Amino acid sequence: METGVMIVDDNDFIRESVDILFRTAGIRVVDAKGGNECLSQLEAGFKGVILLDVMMPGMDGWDTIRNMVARGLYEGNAILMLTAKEKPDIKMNGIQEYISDYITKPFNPMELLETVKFYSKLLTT
Amino acid sequence: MKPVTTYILVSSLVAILAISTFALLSLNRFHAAEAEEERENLEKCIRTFRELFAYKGTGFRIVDGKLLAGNYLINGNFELPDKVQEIFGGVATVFQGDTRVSTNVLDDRGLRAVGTKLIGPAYDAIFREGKPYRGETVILKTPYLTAYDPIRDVKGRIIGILFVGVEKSAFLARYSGLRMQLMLTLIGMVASFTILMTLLGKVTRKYEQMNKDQVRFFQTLINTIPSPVYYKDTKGRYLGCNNAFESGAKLARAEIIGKTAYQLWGKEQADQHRQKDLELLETPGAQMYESAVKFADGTLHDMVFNKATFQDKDGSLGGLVGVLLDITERKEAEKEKSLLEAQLHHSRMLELVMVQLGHDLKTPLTPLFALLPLIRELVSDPGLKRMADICSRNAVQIKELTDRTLKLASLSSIVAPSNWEKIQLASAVDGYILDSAQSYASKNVSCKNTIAPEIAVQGVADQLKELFANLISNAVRYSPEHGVILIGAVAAEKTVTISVEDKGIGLAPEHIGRVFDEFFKVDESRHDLAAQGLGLAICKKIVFNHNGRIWAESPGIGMGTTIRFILPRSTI
Repeated sequence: METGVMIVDDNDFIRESVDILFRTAGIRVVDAKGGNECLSQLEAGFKGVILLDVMMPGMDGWDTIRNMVARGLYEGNAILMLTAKEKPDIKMNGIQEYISDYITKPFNPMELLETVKFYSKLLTT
Repeated sequence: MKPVTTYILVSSLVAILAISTFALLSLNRFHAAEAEEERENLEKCIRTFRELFAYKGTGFRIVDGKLLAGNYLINGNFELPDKVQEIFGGVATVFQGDTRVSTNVLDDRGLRAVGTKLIGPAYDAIFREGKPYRGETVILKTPYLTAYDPIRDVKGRIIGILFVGVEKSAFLARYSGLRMQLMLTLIGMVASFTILMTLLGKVTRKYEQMNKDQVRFFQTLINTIPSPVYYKDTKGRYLGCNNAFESGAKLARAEIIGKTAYQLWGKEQADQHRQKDLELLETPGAQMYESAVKFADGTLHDMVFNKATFQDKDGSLGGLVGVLLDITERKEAEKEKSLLEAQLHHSRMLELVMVQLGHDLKTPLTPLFALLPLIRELVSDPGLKRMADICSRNAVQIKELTDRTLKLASLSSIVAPSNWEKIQLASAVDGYILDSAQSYASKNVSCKNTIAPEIAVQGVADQLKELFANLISNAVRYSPEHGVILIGAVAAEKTVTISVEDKGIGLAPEHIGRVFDEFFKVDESRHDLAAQGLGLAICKKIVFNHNGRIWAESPGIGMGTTIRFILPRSTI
């Protein structure tokens, strides 16, 4: 099964930037405006690396993970958190184990590509 | 001597004196009555003696050298003197001229003293003045009252004397002695009384002095109270005040006492005081309020008026006493405190804004970071590449600025001293120098650690690391090529003063105090993108979090800068 890349962020420019960055590298990116869209994509059968923004209106990144786990949609995915804060957030208590890595905004595009490729490879092996 | 003892003593003495005087007076009266009776008895006696002779014969005469009453021979005839003695007791004598011719007065040998002569005041009275004589005499140790009456012949010539002596009564005999005793007692009493009164006078004067001393002490006490104190009668006239009140009013006590507030402070202030005084006098007790008072020197003071009514000796309302407390400074301090609190709040708000801004900036920076390198790759025109580079580098600057802003905000969190750790300064500084190696090596600057190995400080390791990193990087930035940076420390009992010294561009005197301000840059127009003007502000926050102090020293532009700061010493 093919591993994909999903960007979950409420900021259109960030989603588009990530899309351009990955498309240039030959990787297709699934676009999700928020937690609900992310969950819908997972229910539709998405498997792969999920770039998940923390601060989003409505359902934030943490709650999205909780829903994912609750609905049995987590298996077969790697979650990379996109965060503006270096400080740990009290809201992530209890779900750290589902998070593969943290990427601080603004990220270095090459490092992001490398990281995503790394986790993609992990998922396929 | 206690006043009660004195009172009892004086009362007793006065009573004794009164009784003695009364006794003396009574004695005198008894004596007078008794003496009167004695005298009457004496007169009766001599009258009887003369009447007895009248029975014997009419008229005294001398015939052939012998004294006769009518034809009754008196010489050597003791019938009538003995008769008188029988009736009245006592003695009786008939003198012919001044010679005793019939008598029962006995001489030394116990014989009738016939032939002896009369001498003394009785003789003078009879023969010189022709008057009867009354007197007293002692015969054989017995006191007698005596009476001498002249005997005249038909021609009125004095030819002899009739004499009777009546024994004085026992009381009268002892009267003199008694009176003397009483008099002596009285004199003694008066003397003691006088002495006592003198002593009492001294005691009283002593008490008066003590009283005066006490009054003076209370006045001194009131005077010593550093707050102005005054007291007024119910009419609002000042009765007294203390030194602080005098100096506040710039008036002497004499100018204040007896005057009202209207005469002293002008209508506006007086109205207010009087109103409050009246309220207090209507409902006696205590009263407290704040009011602005204009002092004699023109300055306006915030005063607390603490007043209470006092009672007179009879329990009626006597007036009121007031104590003034100058709270001007406290008010100023309160104002300052609220100003500081406002500033602190402001600063916290600013921090929150900084944190929010820092985070918010990261979102728009993300597409820039993602796309600018891509654009640079995709374009082939060197001009466009250059433009992409400029954009990239500025995006990096924005990111760094954001990071440091957030760091500054996060470092404002104060860690409790109980969570501080012991840090061996010399070895820690060695580590900090190594961490910064990249920055100073590129400029060929050397960094020298001169801290004694035993000195240790208490602090938050992360914050101290940040502190030294900032100071070293600053020193490197402003050092010339091949410059030397010296890091030293001097330990005091409870603190360590650390210095980071460079030989760089130095500071102008007017900038020395401002370099720790947030976003302060010595040269505002300088586009030194690597320096955001936050480094020293972060340092200041860290040192402040360690209850320390940080300051800059520089002899002037081009002469290097030394940053000194104080951290708590670890003595464990």
